Amino acid sequence: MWQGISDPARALWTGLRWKKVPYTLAALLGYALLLDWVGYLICTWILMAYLFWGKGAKRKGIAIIGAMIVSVISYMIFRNLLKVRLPLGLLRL
Amino acid sequence: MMDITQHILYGFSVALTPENLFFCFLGAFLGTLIGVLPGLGPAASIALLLPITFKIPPTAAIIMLAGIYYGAMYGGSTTSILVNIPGEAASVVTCFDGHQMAKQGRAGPALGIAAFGSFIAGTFGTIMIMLLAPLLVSVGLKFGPTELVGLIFLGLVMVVFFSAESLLKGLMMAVIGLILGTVGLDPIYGTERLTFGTTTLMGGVEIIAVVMGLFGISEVLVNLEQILKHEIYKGRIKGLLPNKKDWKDSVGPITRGTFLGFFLGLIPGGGTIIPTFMDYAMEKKLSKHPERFGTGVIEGVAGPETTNNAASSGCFVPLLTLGLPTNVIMAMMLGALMIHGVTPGPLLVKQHPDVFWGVIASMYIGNIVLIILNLPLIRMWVTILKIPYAILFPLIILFCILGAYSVNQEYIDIITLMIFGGVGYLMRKLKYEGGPLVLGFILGPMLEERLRQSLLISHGDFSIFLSRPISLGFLLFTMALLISSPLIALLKKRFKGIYGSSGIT
Repeated sequence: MWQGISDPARALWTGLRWKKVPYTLAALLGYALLLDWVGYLICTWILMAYLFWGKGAKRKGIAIIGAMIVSVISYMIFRNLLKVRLPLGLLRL
Repeated sequence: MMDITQHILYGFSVALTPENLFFCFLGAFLGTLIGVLPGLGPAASIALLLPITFKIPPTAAIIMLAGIYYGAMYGGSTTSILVNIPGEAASVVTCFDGHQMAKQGRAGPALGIAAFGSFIAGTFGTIMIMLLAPLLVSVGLKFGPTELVGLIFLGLVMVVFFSAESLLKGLMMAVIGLILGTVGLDPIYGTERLTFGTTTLMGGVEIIAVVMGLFGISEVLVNLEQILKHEIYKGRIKGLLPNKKDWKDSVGPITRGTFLGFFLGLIPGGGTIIPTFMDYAMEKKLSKHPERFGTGVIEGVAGPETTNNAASSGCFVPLLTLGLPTNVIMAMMLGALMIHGVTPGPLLVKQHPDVFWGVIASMYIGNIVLIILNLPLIRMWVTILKIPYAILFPLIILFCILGAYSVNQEYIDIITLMIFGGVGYLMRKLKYEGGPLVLGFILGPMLEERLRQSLLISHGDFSIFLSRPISLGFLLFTMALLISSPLIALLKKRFKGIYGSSGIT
């Protein structure tokens, strides 16, 4: 069945890390669905850590800490400066 | 003549208020940043900032958004020259000669001529807007709903015609856009259309999320799957001022680029990308040494960089005078104005002279700000270029999420963003243009409203569009465009032959 595919079609996918695309889109979908329930800070932290993720212990550490900083700073900017209400989710005690 | 001086002085009095000056600077700054960073173009950025402009007055909002647009044209050249990756689609052509110049240690003059050329084009373009706009306004005032139907129809077909590689693909996109534009409640009777019984779709599909998906997320996804190698120019940038010979070589290209860009910018669908390719081809033909194009000649930087800036000013004319957006960015501007209850069109000059003249005057100021941002401060942008993409792309995704979410504070808009990100990714791979889709989406409801008004006048008789000479003219021209497409396709193939031989891969 795969042999039936013409070369230009194959050129669209070979040599590319196209699997990253559905993973990223799935992460976005998960983010959208969990946002109201889990809250902006935790969701963004996880999503950013996932996207920053790379090889090596140092890179992983940077990903986790960097993602936390990004989510807190963006939360403060949007909440205080732009007055956008972002859901608190689980953190709303 | 007296009139114009008075108007422009009034414009400056609006643009020079501290608030507007601040937003002009902010727009120019953000525009340069967006232009420098590959992977976030002006369309997605303007969509991103649209929700923020809800909170500021309309004049300041448009001044800022306009600044982003022409600022991106300046910034795009920096990345093209130093990294050989277009920071922005309208700077693709600048890579050919610009990066070669950088390799030969002439990055300074290349950046310099790009900035000066952009400045000249931007200033000239602004003057042209001022002179041309009142003429078009007087024409536009004669248009009733029937004529506007013809005009919008023609505009949409022209966008398809000029921006899409294949007319069929472009038409498909435009029709999908028109269908998406009908989702929600019927504007006159309030009947549900294409909502599939859900309340979430009753308010329609969120255009901001669509644009950010199609132009922001999809770009990230395409970059993500490729293993990009950034080759940043390592040498020191010295001598930003082009020398006498450089200027002598660039005078012609700058002059021609300014005119070509501005007039192509006026045409719906002309945009900023196609004119740069046309300008490069033209300069190559006119040159005494066409064989040296692609090896780092300054004409190959000066021409296209001037053209894209001139085109970005030209684009404003149809929007401000006729209310017709001619590309995705102008469609976003239209959205920003409409949110503030300002309807762009021939009545804009009378009803909101502060918006009209203030925005035009701000363009002069913006161009001065940009030349300062882009020449003395060039090293700052080079530092920004060194941020690795692995850090950049999650942030771009986060900006898009926040932009989509902050419009209505609904998670459904993030899902829209995701869907159109995926669709846009496939569209990019299969060479479908997003422009006609967005224009169809934006123009659809406008077209529908005017169409129904016309039909009310004629008591449901469609021949009204043929009995009015102006609307008949527009429709005939539209038909001629559609019929002539096979002919143009042939010419385009010829055109490609010219690019192909210049060693562009």
